[in-house]
Order: sequence, then C-alpha cells, then structure tokens
Amino acid sequence: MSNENLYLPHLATITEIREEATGERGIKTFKVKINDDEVRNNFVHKPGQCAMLSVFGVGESIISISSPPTWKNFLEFTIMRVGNVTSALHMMSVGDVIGIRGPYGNGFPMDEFKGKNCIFIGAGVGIAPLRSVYQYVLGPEHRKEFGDVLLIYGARTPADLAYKREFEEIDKRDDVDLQMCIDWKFGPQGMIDEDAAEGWPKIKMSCPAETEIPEGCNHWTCFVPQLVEVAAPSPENAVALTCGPPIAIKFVVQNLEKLGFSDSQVYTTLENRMKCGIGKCGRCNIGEIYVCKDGPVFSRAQIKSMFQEF
Amino acid sequence: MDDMVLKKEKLSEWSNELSGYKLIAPSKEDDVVIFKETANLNMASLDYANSVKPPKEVFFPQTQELFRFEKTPEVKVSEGKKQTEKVLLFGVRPCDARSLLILDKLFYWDSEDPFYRQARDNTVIVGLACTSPHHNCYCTSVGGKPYSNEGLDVLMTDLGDRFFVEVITKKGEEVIRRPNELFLTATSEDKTLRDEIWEKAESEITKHVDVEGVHDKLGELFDSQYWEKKAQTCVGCGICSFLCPTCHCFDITDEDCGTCGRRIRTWDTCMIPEYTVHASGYNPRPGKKNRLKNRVFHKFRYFPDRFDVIACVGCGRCISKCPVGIDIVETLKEVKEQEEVKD
Repeated sequence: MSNENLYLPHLATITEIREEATGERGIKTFKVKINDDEVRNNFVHKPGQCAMLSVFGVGESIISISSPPTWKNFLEFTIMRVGNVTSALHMMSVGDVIGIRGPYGNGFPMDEFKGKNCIFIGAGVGIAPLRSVYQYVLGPEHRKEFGDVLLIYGARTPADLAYKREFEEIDKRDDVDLQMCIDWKFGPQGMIDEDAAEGWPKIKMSCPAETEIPEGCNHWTCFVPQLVEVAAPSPENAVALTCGPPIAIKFVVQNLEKLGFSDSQVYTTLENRMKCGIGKCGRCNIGEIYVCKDGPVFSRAQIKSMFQEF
Repeated sequence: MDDMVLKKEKLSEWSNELSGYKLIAPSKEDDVVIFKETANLNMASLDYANSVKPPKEVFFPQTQELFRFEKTPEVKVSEGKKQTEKVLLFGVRPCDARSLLILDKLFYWDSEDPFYRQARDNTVIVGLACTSPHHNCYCTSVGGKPYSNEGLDVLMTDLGDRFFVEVITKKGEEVIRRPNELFLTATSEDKTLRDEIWEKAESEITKHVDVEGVHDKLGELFDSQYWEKKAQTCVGCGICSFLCPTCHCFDITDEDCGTCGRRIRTWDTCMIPEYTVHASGYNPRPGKKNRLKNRVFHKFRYFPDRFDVIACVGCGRCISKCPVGIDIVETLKEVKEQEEVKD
C-alpha cells in the first residue's frame, strides 16, 4: 500500500528554450531540469514515454518526452502552442519553474527493435516523440544494437522544420539515411509543378518512385507519404515508427503496406485528452484501452483490433 | 461471529460507543435522502429506498483537493493534511456497497489512488438490506441481491423494532464487540423473519434484464444506427454518470487566486463533448450518439474486459433521474434485439 500523492508534481526549472517554428501554432523546445537531485536521478524514462507538465494556476498537459533517456540530467519537450497549458508554457522564460510528473505510458519496445533496421517517419510536430527514439538508437551507447537507420521528416516549410542544427549533424553521419521534405506549395494552391524552395526539388507526385534523384539530394518538395515511396525501405528485418497528423499517418501506413511491411512491423502513437495520466480519470479510453497506460505506442496490428474511435 | 439483533432504541447507545468514529448516515430533508454526518445514528432516516446521491462521495468526493501551490515569491507545492479520521458509514444499500468493489478495481489497478485508498481504509461500512425496493431497482439482473453483503463490513436487516445484525469482516468486528448488552444473540425466529423479509424484497424487484450476451452483442453494434436513434432525446446533462455509484471519471483543474492556488479534482461526465475534445479542437467522440454509446459500452463491455466485472449494480438512479427517460434496462433489451452490423 502506498500513500504517495500521485498527483503531486515535482518542481522543475526551464533551463533553455529554443524556438523551432513560429506562427499561430508555433513550436518551442523546452529544456527542463528537475530541481531535486534525487527525483531527477530517479526519473528514468523509455523512448516514447510522456510526462504531465504543470503550469501552476493554469493546469496540466500530457506531453511526449522528446529527449532520449541517454541524455542525462535534463529532459526536453518540443511543444506546439495549441491549448491553455501549451500557450502558457510558450509565454514562459528560462528560469521559470513548472511542475512535472511521470514518466507515463508504455514507450516503444526497444528490446524488440534490437538487431533490426529502424525507419523513422515523422510529419510536423510528430517528430517530437520520435526524437526520443532515434536519438536513443543513434547515440554511442546503443548504436551497435540496431541495424540501418532511415530517418524521414517533413514539415510545411523549411522554417517549420524542428531541430535544424541537430539534423545538420545527423546529415553528416554515414550511418543514417536522412530524407526531409517540405510541402507548403501543395497547400491551398493545390499541386504546383515546381520546387517549393531552392534546393528542395519536387518529387513526381503521380509516380514518386520514378523521380530522378540528383546526386546527394535528400531534401524534397512533397508530402511525407510520397517520400516514403521514394525512399522505398525494405521491410526485411525492419521496423517502421511513424508519428504525425492522422492524415499523414494514414497515407504513410498505406505506403508502408505497399512496400510489404506487415501490421506488426509498423508502430505509431495515439493521443487523446488526458487528465490523470495513470488510468483513473477515464477520458483517454479507446474501447477498454487506456491510451495513457497501454499507449501511447501501439503497433498497427493493435490499432486495427481496436474499436475505431480515435 | 454469531448473528445478532440490535433493538432500534439502542442505536443511540451504540452511537455513544462509537466515539472514535465520524458517523455518516442517511438523512431525510424535504423528502430528499442524502448521506450526511450525524451526531447519533438514531437521527438516521430508515425510511428510504435509496439516497439520491450514492455514498461513493465519502470515498471519491465531488471535489477533492489534490494539493496547494504558491507562485510567488517562489513556486512551492504543499499537500494538505491527511484525513486520518475513522468513519462509520451507516445505512448503505447492498447495491452501493457492491459499487465500491467495482471502484476498488479502478482506483487500485496499476497504481493506488492515495485519496480513495485512505478513505476506504478508514471507513467501516454498515449496510442496510432493502426491504422495499424502488420500481427502478434491478440489482438482481447484474449479480446483486437486495440483501447482498458484498462490500459490507456489517449487514443489518430491519425487522421492525430491531435490526438483524451480521458481522461480515474484521473491520465490522471493531465496531460490534461481544459480549455486549446491545447486541444480543439472534434467535431462530429472528432468522426466519429476516429470511421472509429478504425473500419479499427480492420478489418486489420488477425490473429485469438478462445481461448474458450483452457484451458480445455490443461488439457487433459498434457501428449501428441504433445509437443515433437512442441518443436523439439525450440532453447530455450527465446526471446518469454523476449519480452513478460506479462512475468514477474526474477532471483535474487549477483554482488560481493570483499568488497561490490549489489543484482539485471534480466529478466529470463522459456525456459532454468537453470530456474528450483535444486542444486542437478534434473530438474523437463528437456526437451524443458516440458518448451515450461509450457509456453503455463502458459499463457492459469495456470495464468487464478490463476488470472482469460489469460496471453497474442496478441501483436505478440513472433511470429515475434522467430528465428525458432514457432507461438503461430498456436500452439493454433493445441492444439484444438489434441486428448485427456487418462490414
């Protein structure tokens, strides 16, 4: 029996804020250090897990931890400004104190991924939960445990791409195939038959796989699902992890299926409104599944077996 | 421990013996029965089918402070005083006692909710068997009996001028010690009378539904048009869940007074759109049909799948208090008659 107050957050200090994307739904990365040494050392998360962040007086919000557990002494959260708590967080400054409790959720089954080629496919702010995984896989502590790494990431415009400096570093590595895309020209103006920005050649939308690939080019104008078709990863001994807006995930998964990926090789994360994070408050359910406890990570096979209400 | 009887006139004396306990009992005001703190159990109302609000609020209050915080000069959080007071909860109906065993599953699975746990541990529950069930009672359809002792520490049955007293648990023994001038050994006549009262009460339950097969049938009806039809009259007030003894959903919000404040949890209801709406505006259960369906599925499919028990004890409050007359028993009967929706 435990009398510990599960709802009482630990205090943590914002030590760095990086602006990832501007605009109405801007994205910032918050580097956070838990104040108490013992609590900080005991806060050990798995890639893909979440934490409940508090802005006292405003409320709590469940946010995926976007730094890998191999980065010690601090946590990072890449947060889009959408609701009350995230808007309040975006108003905060370095040195401000927030609350944190967790880690919550299942995280990605890293042991099952060992020895496999890993394909990461992130769209928009969906890159945030994936970052805790690919930075875990790419870190010196664990790189040898995994096979080839293909990292696909897309956003609307070059300015909307998060972790820019980090991707420049990743791009220099020869043990990662990095492919990025932007799609803003395909927005309200429809299919414009030109490159969205200089250095971002367009992918042939009618038949992406036939696109001629200029030597060394890995920046494209297209949607993320088309980039999956161009990169055409082999399903052999591979797992694919994808996060992003539902519409992007839908077509990414379709294209992975076409490439021969089975439902048990494809993983994604689900999100739902949450209050407690510990399977009590009720609202995050999909059927008998509690997304906060049983998720947020699910295989495509698990998702197919659920009542389709998410 | 042998069965006993307690004369009603001795309730007062027994109360005096319970000086270490806060007494909570059904209290009637303007024809409304609710559970309230009382100085003496002889003040308790014994003339009620059931309370309007279930006694779940003793364990899971409508508003619960989780902690307090200060924002200036520096951020601090502090826990309130732990409620260590012992409570004797008197007059709980068997259906509501069974509901606590269902709530236990939720509040204790994976991690224990500290507030609920503390209230459960500190409370002795003395039940009162039903002698005249309400016309909306249907406990016998969902595994209960008007005289079930599940979830109770003591079960009493009103024999007219005296109670038939059965001590069920060790906790019960702590409030009824023997030998004692108050609690006398029951005679075989007492027991016969108790059995007659029990039998009569059970026979007076007129609402029935066979829930066998409902779980599987619901699985076939997830995409049925039935839910849209059923939800047409629903006003989404949430009274069915607020008054349900097994409903446990809660919201967590901050009360901010500028420099300080507190975080509270409050009863919530799955019958309103705000319950599931994402910050982005997307709502996975956007319509009343989605929400009404979720409530029925939760009680008769999701909760059993997760915790091996139907999340309904047949108290009938949701039927009695629904402003538009949606009747869960009728709903279940209709569900069983629906055609399966095939892909």
